[in-house]
Amino acid sequence: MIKNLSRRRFLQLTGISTTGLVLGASGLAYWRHRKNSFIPLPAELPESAQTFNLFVHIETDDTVHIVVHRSEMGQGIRTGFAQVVAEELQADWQHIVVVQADGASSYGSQSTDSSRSMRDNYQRLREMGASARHMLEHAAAKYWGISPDLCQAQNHQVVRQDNLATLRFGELALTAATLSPPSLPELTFKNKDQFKYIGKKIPSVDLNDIVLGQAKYSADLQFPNTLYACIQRSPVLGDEVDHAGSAESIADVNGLSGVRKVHPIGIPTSKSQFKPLAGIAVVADSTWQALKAKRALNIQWKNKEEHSKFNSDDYIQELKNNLNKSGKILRQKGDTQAALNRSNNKHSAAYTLPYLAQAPMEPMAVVVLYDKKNINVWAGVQDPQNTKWQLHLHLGHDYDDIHVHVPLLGGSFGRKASPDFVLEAAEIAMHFPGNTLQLQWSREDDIQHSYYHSASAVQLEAGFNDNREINAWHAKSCFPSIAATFSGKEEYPASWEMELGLVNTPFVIEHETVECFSAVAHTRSGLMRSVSNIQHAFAVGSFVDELAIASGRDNVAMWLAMIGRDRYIDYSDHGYELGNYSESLTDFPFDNRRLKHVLHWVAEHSSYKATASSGSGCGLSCHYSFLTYVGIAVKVRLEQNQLKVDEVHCAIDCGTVVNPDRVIAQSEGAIVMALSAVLMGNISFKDGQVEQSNFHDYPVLRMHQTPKIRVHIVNSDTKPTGAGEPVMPVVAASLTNAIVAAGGERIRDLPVNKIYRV
Amino acid sequence: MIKFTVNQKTVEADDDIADMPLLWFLRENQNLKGTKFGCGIGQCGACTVHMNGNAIRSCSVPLATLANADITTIEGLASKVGADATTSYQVGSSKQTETLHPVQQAWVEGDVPQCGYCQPGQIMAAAAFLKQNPAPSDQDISEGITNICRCGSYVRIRQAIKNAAKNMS
Ligand code: FES
Ligand code: FES
Repeated sequence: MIKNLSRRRFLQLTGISTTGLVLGASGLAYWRHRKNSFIPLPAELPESAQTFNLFVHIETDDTVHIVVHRSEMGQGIRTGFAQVVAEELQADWQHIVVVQADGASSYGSQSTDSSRSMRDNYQRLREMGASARHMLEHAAAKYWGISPDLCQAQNHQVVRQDNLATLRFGELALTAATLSPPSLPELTFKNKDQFKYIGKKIPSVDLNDIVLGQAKYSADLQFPNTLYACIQRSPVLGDEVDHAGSAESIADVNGLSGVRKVHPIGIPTSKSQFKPLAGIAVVADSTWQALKAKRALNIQWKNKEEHSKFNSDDYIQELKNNLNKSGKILRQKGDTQAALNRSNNKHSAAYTLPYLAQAPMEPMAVVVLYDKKNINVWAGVQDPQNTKWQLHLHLGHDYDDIHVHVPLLGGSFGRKASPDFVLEAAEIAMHFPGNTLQLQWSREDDIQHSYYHSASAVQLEAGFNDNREINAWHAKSCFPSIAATFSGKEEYPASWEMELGLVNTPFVIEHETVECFSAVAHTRSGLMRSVSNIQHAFAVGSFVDELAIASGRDNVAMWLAMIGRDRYIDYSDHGYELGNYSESLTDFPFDNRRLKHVLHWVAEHSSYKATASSGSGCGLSCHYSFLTYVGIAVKVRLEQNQLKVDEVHCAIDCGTVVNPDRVIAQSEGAIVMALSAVLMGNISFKDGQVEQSNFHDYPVLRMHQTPKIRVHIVNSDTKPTGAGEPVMPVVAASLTNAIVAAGGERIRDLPVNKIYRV
Repeated sequence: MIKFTVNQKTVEADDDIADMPLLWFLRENQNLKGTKFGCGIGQCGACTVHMNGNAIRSCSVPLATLANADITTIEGLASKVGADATTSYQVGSSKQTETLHPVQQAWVEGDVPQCGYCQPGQIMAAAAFLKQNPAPSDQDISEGITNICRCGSYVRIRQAIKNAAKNMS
């Protein structure tokens, strides 16, 4: 439902005072995505959350403000949302100004994760635009004293159909503001062939600011009376500062010029949640002084046995061993064990991945202003609402006096969904009322204190029957669940983590078992672009290729045989209710034809079918995640021990596309990020501490390693689905399959640079 | 006192901050926030500026070494220093394009940036690179441009550099 918003409310939410028309829409389901959340959330939905979620505002000077309530981190959501509203509004793009929403429950979910901003909002945004247009047309009808049927909005004005007189949107804004918004059945929408903005390449609204160096990220905001902070955090999870042992060093650093204060911060616990890690904060007159002072600190730590012996190489072996214990069965059909026992042609393989760090280009930075009543925070976070709530829990400060503003994020990839750094900054800022406190993380802080993508082990086993068909499939996965970071206990992978690619395989197999195994967590883990799809798609895509080779079949033929006849995939016949990324199977059916299509496309358009020359090869894989279907073909060359990735071809079917250029950019970026991880991504722990510290020992892809990339978007009229993440998990298997095709080794333990130079 | 110019304006830095890297001086003393901090050890190039026309990584260059140097930052690259660029972070889309440097222009035409954080550094690196090598091959670009873009905009950067080279020749 759409309501006419009071101008005062609009001012409260956006800081923009207005005289024109303001609309809000209500009823966007919010907490449903999180109903099984392990993150502490408000016990009840705040009443205001039912009211409004996003807003259109038309100013008398023709300016249209479009409020975007999801965070911009390079995916182009500020532009995409505006395109959809402007389309149905019949607005002129020149007059669009995008306003970034603060954290407020009124907006509905602001959680910018799971590649769902457009999926969650596409229809609502169209309704917002169409309602505003309807009201402008009715305002014009009223002014001219004619039937609204004769008034049609186009290009930022309403045209009178009988004599072609016109009124600009700005001229109509005040009258429109006095009308009540239309009900849903009164709204009309454009057809696809009338679209001017949706489906078109529209440049990012932040493009010029970015190339001029004017785009503002958190640390770029300039306030008076700013103090600058850095933190030395416990290198081992749960460790605490040995205050007696550190006193001398702390006193020395306190005496350095420019240093205002050195004091303890955080809580030593394994149940870290979003709480600051235990450490020592240095507050100084400039970031440079704070960084220098931090470097001068020599903190002694009190070890707790729990994590101080943690060694990730051994741990990955342990995860693999765990797969032979008894696990928790999530989905089962038939009698897999009996079928495997009967089969005289069965195969099994285990795959592992190390820890990975998101390493967004902008290290975490936060600005906090505490004025003894209000806490104002400027922080590039993926979810300003959760940030606000966590600040409230951590500081015990009145929820309504906490304000979270969201500048641009210099990348995130899941890292800034965890607001630990904001809690740190606010904890320090409470000691400096009246001053602005800016916290800067160094790259070393980022690499060593991430919410990592967990190390993992996956084992797959399949048995052929006498007709060379696979009739038994046993999938097992072991990794420390993200839930363990919140409970502090050993946990099984959560069902939502398992539904990222292992429970929801697209196969028709007579006997199937999907099982997960618990693991103790020794570090914080969290979201990284496509989350556990990374290990699951790597294992499944590799194993299908191994089965193809073992049975003398082509990779595509093997996939098709396993995917089976055309159908909507649904596991309810054996009692499994698929979470389906929180969407119903009616609205978003899991359609195996779309998966086959993307696989065919990359097989046809890459050099997959060309005769292989020695030392080069092409590998394929496909995967369904975030309701999107992706096929990838990778072409590599292997010379002596040197691997070169030459080409990556990608077909993505993500339903209706609002901005194809941004979908292509996201796909290119996800391919590059995946190559970083597959070729050389490795965060390792020794004695509980991360061994890497910066880009020299946690390398990411650079220009010279970047292949030619081609992205094909499948034309589709279905509802929009995810674009930011689903390309990421498909690259690993395509690449390692290509290495085998080029005559190289089958790599089951990533990264590739353990075996080949990259 | 260390004297040098930043975007053609003379600036002075006290000797007691002689060990401060140029990056922090630009950001916190000069309020030029376009130059970014990405790694602090010369690895990523987010902090790239020009010193006497050459690309340098300002996080690793202390003020002490800058006496009489001419520094250009991203804010000084366009001929009109982003006159119409918006100052509020809330509102996107600076309207001015006509005075952009050809590299910036190519960046706009290719819609290169994703998050944008590395891009001032990429643009400064590319502008200096093209002065040395006005008609680079793919291979030259791979070897000459070593800045990190974690968003993975490399294919577009590569193309934009080639387009800029064409427009500048
Ligand atoms: S911040 Fe200077 S090179 Fe990374
Ligand atoms: S655009 Fe985000 S790091 Fe390059």
